Amino acid sequence: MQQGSAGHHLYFFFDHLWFVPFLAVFFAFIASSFIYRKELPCKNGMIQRHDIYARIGHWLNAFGILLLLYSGYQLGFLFAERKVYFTSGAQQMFNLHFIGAVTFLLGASLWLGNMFLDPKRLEEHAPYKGSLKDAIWHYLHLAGLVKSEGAPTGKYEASERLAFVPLTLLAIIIALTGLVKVLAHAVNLPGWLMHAVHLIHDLSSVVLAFLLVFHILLAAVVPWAWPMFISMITGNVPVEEVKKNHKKWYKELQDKGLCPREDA
Amino acid sequence: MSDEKKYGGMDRRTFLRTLAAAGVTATAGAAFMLPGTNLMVMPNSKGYLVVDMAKCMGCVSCMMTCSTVHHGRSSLSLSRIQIQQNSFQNFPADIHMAVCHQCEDAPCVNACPVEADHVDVLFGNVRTIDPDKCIGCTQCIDACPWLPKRLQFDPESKKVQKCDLCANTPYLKEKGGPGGVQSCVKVCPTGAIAYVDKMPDQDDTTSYNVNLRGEGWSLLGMTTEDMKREG
Repeated sequence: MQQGSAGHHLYFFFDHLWFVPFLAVFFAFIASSFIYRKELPCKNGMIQRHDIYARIGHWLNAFGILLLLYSGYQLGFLFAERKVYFTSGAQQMFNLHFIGAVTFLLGASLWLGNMFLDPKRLEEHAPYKGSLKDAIWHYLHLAGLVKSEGAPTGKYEASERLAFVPLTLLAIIIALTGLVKVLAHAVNLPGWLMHAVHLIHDLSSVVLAFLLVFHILLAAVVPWAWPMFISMITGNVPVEEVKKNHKKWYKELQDKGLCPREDA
Repeated sequence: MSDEKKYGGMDRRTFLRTLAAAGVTATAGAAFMLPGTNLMVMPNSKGYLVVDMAKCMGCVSCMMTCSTVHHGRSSLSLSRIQIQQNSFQNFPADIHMAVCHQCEDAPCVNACPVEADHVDVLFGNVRTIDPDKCIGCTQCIDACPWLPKRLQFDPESKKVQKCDLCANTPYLKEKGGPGGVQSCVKVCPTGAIAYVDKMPDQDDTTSYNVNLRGEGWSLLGMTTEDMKREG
């Protein structure tokens, strides 16, 4: 029964630094406006798949999302009970959630700024007509059920391009509803709006968590994804791997003069 | 980038920089105008209810008026103040009065996932629940460290309610809330409930049970001794 002043002097980032998530978005936009990206030629048997800015954006997102999911789970979501009951525990989780939100917003906004400056990058990620068929065929081939490899693969595989849509939409929905939740700490927002925002934020997070499991499995755990997973750390992928599994991308690089032609 | 398009005489980079700079300026301005409202690190309530359990005679008038001023109905089930009576106990343990402590760190406020349980800065920082926002998840009830819990689930509205020091009382003519009228204090025939503006000791579990008995009480042949009990 004993209670006391445990929570009185605790510092909640969401209360005192509510403006930081908003600043993170705009600072990332400014940073992206000073980034000039270019494709590098093949060198020492390696091809650059992800430049340093892509890797920074990806890992900021990854770290931020994992932190958000963990702290969000601890704080309770939808009708699941909160796992931390005391003020100090709630403070730690809220502050972790804040750090996750700022990290994620930095990464996502950096990516968004880059997409705005160079829409061709968006085309590389977005699904195309026939993506679903190509993705199914690709996995059937990997499973040994069909002999033909199917259509040549570009820089990103058909399944990656399909996953891009729900992942991006969910990230945008979660970020926007999260910003409204932060705003609710500074201004009084109507009850109906908060109802909708909480429900959408939590439901989207649950769906994102499920998709993230598949993303990690298919992008890092399965052996055939290892070369590409390493490229998200080093930035480079072996030319032989690209020649074998990303024929369309290799041809594009040859057409741009970034990789030598076989007959040259 | 060579393929960057121009929009209204502005290339994409300049547009992004202008947008971001305007955003930084607006956010910094808003941060200056709207400082944190301390919803989680909350300011202390400006008022508290204290009781004298040795003075209560168990008439439950406080419970009836609490329900009436908040809901327009006299129902013991809808009261926010709770009087428990045990016929098998002797005085003074036969009656227990449970009022919301308006806790300094208010675990119920921190537990609410939808900011329905909040500190009402318009009504003296009283810890209260906005029925429009409450989703009835009852996490606030779980978080309340006291027994009986000082928050109640209303099975009709499927929402949780708690003492708001009469801040939101559609059926009370006078102004309620901290600094105003508290209907339970007003109707108690023995004066066993009092409103104070000084926070009771948060480290002492008996600090909400005080001695409200004056000289006249001893003239009636009843004790005026201090009786320490958890409230």
